[in-house]
Amino acid sequence: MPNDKNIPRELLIEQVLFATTLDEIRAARAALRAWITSHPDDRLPLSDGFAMLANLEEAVSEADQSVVA
Amino acid sequence: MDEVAERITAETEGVVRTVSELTILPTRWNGSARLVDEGGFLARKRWQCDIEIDRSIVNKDERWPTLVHEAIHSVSAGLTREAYNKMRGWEEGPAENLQRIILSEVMQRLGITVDQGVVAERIASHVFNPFNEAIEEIRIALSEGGHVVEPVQFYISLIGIPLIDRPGYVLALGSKRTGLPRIPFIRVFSSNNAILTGR
Repeated sequence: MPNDKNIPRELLIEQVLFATTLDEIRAARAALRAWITSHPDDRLPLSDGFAMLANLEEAVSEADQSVVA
Repeated sequence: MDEVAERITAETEGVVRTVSELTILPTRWNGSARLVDEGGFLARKRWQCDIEIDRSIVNKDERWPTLVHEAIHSVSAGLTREAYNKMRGWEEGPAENLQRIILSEVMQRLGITVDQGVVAERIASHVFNPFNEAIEEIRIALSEGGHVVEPVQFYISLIGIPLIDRPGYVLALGSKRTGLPRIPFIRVFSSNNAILTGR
């Protein structure tokens, strides 16, 4: 998955929307942060991605813990 | 609680109450609206059913569509961690599309005027647009059979159905269309469901 700040916007959005594993979720968050840092005018339409990733991270973390338990 | 936090809590209460009234769906919001500084998001309804709001938007019109979106999550049925992980687009797509439909009514009821430029900027390039477009394509395919007339009815119905059951509900609606072949609808459903499930 692409995760550097120069990836096209569409690929970034796909990376955010389709992140499934903890590694993918954290990489997507880092890519989103990098993109908004370099494109501050894009913050408003993209920032809900952070909310989704935070909720997914908690959901996946809990699922992982229940598997371990 | 400082003055700003009190105001934001009151604003959130007004938005959540109005969304619950408009959708006729009960809210699970626990009454807490917390201001945060480094989440990256504008606002977020957490699994504990409080709502976090970025301090940077407390005086900006950006907060209104975001609060309506989060309020819709608070009335969404069956929004569990497991379901959200598997069906994220079936939650975010209907929530954002419904937000766009009811925002003006919510604001009117609260006596608030929102800068339409802010609303237009959010709509034009929102991160959830692939989800919004996917569920809207399904709605349009259903409407061709005459079973779904008003978008607002469709999205409120979806939000009121447990998240895990939404694809089955939509497939059942598609099967009920009379006088139309099923396969074209199934094709539309399948391609968009792949987007909505993030798979």
